[in-house]
Amino acid sequence: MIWASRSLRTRLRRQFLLLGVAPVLAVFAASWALLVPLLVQQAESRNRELALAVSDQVRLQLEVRVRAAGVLAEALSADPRAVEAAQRALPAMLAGDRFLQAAFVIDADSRVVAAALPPQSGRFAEDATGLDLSGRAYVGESRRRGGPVWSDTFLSTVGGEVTVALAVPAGQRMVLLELSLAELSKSVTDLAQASPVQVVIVDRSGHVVAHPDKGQALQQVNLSNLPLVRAALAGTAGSARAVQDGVDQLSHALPVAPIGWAVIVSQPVAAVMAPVVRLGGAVLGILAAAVLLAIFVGWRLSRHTGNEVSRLADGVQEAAGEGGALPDLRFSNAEFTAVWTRLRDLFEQLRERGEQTLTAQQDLQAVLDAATQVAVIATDAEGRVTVFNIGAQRMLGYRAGEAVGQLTPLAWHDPADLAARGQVLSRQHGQAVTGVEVLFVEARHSGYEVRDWRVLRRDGSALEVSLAITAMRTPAGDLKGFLGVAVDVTERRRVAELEVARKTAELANQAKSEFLSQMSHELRTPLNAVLGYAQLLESDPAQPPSASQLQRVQHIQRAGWHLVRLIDDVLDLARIESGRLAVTIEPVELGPLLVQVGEMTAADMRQHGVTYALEVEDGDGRVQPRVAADPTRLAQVLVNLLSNAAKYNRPLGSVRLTCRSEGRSVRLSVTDSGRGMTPAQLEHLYEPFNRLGRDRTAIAGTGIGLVITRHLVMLMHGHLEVQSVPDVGTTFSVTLPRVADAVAVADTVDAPGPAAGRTPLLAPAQGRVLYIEDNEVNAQLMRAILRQRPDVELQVADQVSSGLAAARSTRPDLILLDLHLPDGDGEVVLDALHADPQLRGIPVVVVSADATRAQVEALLQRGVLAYLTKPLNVNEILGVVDQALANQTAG
Amino acid sequence: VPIFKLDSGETIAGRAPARSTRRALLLSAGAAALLGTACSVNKPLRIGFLGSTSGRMTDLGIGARNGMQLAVDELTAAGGLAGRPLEVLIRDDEQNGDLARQRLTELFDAGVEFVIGPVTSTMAAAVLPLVVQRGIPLISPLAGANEFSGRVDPFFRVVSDTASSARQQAAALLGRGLKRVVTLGDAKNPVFTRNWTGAVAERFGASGSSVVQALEFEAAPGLRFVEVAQRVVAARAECVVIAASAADSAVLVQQIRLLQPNLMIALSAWAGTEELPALGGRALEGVLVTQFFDRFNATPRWLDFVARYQQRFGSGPGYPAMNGYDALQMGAAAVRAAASGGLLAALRQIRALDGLQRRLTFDEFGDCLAPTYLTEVRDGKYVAVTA
Repeated sequence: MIWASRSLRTRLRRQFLLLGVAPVLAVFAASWALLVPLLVQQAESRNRELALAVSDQVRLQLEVRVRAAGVLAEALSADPRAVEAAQRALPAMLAGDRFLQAAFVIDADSRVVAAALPPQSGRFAEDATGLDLSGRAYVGESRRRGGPVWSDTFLSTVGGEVTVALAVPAGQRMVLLELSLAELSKSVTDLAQASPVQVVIVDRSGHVVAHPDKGQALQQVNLSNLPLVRAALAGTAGSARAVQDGVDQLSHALPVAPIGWAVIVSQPVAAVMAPVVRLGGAVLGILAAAVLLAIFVGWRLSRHTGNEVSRLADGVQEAAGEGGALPDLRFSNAEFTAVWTRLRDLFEQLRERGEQTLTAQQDLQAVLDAATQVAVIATDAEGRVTVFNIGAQRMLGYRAGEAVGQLTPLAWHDPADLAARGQVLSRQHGQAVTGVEVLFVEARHSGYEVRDWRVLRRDGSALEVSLAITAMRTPAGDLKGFLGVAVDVTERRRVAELEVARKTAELANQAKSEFLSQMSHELRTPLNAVLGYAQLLESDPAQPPSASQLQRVQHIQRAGWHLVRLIDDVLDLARIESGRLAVTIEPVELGPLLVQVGEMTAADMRQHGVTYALEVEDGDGRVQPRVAADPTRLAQVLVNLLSNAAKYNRPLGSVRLTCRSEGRSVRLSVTDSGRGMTPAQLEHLYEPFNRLGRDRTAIAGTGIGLVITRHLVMLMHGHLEVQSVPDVGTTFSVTLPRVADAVAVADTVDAPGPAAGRTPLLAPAQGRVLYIEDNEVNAQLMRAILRQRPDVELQVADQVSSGLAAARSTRPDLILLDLHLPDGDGEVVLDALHADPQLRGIPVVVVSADATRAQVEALLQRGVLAYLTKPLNVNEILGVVDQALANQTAG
Repeated sequence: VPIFKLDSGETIAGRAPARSTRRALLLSAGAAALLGTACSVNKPLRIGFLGSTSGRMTDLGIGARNGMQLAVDELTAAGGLAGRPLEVLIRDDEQNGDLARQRLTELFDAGVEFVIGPVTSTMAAAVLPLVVQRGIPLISPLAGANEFSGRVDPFFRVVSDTASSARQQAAALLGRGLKRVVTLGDAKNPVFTRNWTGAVAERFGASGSSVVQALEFEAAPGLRFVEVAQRVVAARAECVVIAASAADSAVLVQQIRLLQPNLMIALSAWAGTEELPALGGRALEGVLVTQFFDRFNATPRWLDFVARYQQRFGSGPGYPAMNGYDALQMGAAAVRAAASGGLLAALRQIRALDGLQRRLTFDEFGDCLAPTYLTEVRDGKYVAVTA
């Protein structure tokens, strides 16, 4: 319940109480004012009338007694000796009048001479006879006045009770009657029977003569203390309230002339006011009912109204809380419905405006948040943060809730940075610039400042930002705050540094590659001479070497070729490290390749005394699997593995190459029966130049073969696994993707190639050969090799220009071309030959120390017949020359 | 049971014009209707009265009641007692022991602080065990019997010991040379009358004189006064001492004088009321009457009391009235003193009280030591005589 409805409820209740109670009270008051005087008047009137009636009655009764006594007195007066007759008459008088308690006659001496007492009184006439009543005042008064006199109340010695007595002179004698106050009281009680009215008679001194409670008469209760009674005894009638017998009474006192008594007629005020009291009771009842009804109705109404208000308020609150539209509520009262309708309209307008504002805010927020890499921070004029976008949160590590309204930018700016800047600014402005002013002072003065700052993230890490601070002002020009937009330049700087480092590294790598290439070239050139002449010595038909010479020449050749492989491996490793080792994936027939690698490693097997076996598990040889691979590099991989298996085998060991199809891949495994490797050795298996402790053995190796092997396998989308058991052996497995079988093995096995074994099939070559080579040693070696073809005329040119001139002049049948020439590249020669129609058909064989595969392929692409790398294989060069010249002759 | 509740002057003037009457009615009735029963700040202090206000002893009861009422009027006019208004509850014992106990129980149950009464020794004897049991003080104006002397009980009185008064009377008779005495007592009030007649007889006996006869009668319907008088005369004594009420004494004196006009008659203090001379007439001439009070006192305080009494009740006060007044003053003095302690203890600590006529002194038992006065009726009036 909200306070408003409680207040309303109270108000309603109060109004209901007022409306319910006030009219009833007013009616009651009006009735009271009208009724009470009327009732009092009526009661007074009733009292007065009754008092008059009683007074008349009393007078009448007394008069009756006076007459009766008078009759007797006359009789006594007429006959002084009639005492005996009186003695007889008195009992009769007593018996005929219940109001008399004693009747007697006194003589002139005031002594009782005749008396009558009622039998039931318990007293006797004899006891009364002779009593002296001369002391009685009323007796004396009667004698003096010579007429009837009524006494006040007194205790009678004759009747033995309190009484009032009548004295009537009878000559010298006197007739006396004593009234029974008990009977008198009974009679006045009868007068007021069945009504609350009380009639009391008092004598001249105020003693009660008759009273509804006869005891009050017999006890001589005196009422002269009541002013009303005193006034009546003094002769004035009147009405008043008086407390009698402990009861508040409305009384009327009336003198009873001529005896001087008074009649007091009273009604209890309660009885007089009974109608008013009843009215009051009824009013109180109505009032109570009205109040209860009012409270109930008020409560109901206020609750109902309160509920309506509560519903209204709750509806508004709910809608306000949810930000939605007001529900369609129904109210029992038109005003509430109208209010609700108006509220709904207002809410609808508010909601629309709210949505517009929200959209605008969202747009702004989206803009701010979109700048996740840009910190947007706004502050008030004192520097307290008011906006803290997502970029700022990411950049600084504070949540918006923590920063907005709580922090100033001092929280994240590096204090040392601020202090240093503050000193500079203080000097510039000629006054101390500290705190946030260090950040804002320039923007405050010139509106804008951009500079780099060092800030600290919440976790303490530092970053460099480029911060643009703008002073924000109201249209009136008052400073509203500052807007800071910061970009993290740490990464940019790092990237820049990395870029420099990368370029430096690239340059270094390039230099290394160039160095390696150069070194390769430079090493190959002398090796070409060494190996070339060694081959010539071995196979010189003119001077065949002796057995020992042959052996030495073969040693020279082995060492030389090992050096060549080493150079090739180092070059490959360098390419791998620089990411420039490329493979050409194509479907490869495994059958011939496996045979070829077996042949290529047969010498190693023999040298290390191990047996070699090739096992193709997949089929009977009719269909061999094909893999997607670079054939040259796959051969290199397998040769390397087989070579290692032979090298690191035990004497009389075995090497087995197995080929097995496994679903969509082919597994080629090389298993040896060598020493095996421990798990610790396996961990370092692929580390370049790490020979796993075998570098101190006699076994030759570089420690980079497996590195290259694994890399080549990965380049061919395969993977290399190793399983090794110490003292049992090692199995390297190469898994490569399988390609659908389409071609029969037989179709490719017999494919023609420049195999050394075929050279003898050709007729000895003849023709002109131009060798463009600037190195004299190489030129001599070529001359020595081609001396084995006596019909081949060799012409050597040491420059591009001289080479082209020679070609144009002699038009050779074959050109052997070195690529590194003093006056130009070998490719220039190719371009020139291609450009010259006369020379265009001359086959060119490149003879170069540059063994770079890319170079080889590039030049093969340009149509060179063959690319022979130095050091030259004598048989190979002879075979190529023979082939080229034969083709030339045939063509 | 008739209850006369003394109003405390709250009455409205009888001659008040009708308009003011109506206004007063309007106001008070309105107040009563709206506020319910009026609540008084001070609860009234209730005082009980137990006495014979009807029958033959009515002169004692009414006199004592009237005297007490004047005292209450005085206190009320002075603002109440101990700051509280007074309310008097009156009960008539009708000279009946059972009724007396019943009525006194009613008074006790109504919460009275103390009770004035009873007015005869017989009634006092009847209620004494109840008083002791309840522990609520009783101050009797008139019960002077020996039996109540020398006891530590809640019974107090402002009347002196009956026996000593009777001895004083006997001494006076002996002083007149009378030797033969006959005593006549009302057996309806035996405690007092036997105290009185016994003391007289004792005194006569002590002086070597003789008590001819000790007669008794019972003041009740059916009593033949003439016969009682005849028995007295038949005793042939020189004097008769009557212990009876004023009314009975008056009739007896008259009847005795009719039979033997010169017989010396002495009446107990009981009969010494204001009405006695009028009741007895000339037969009372020369009758010796012991008085509990000094009829001829002329102190301003007494005369003022007499005037007020006369005005209030239409007749002069007698000793019952005086003692009723003094009894209430004793109770009031105790209430004032009892502010810090119990009323009973306060009453016991009262050793002296300035009565209307004389200074009353009390012993440690609360018994009063007050003088009595000897009078003779001459020309229808009491005159003082010396022993």
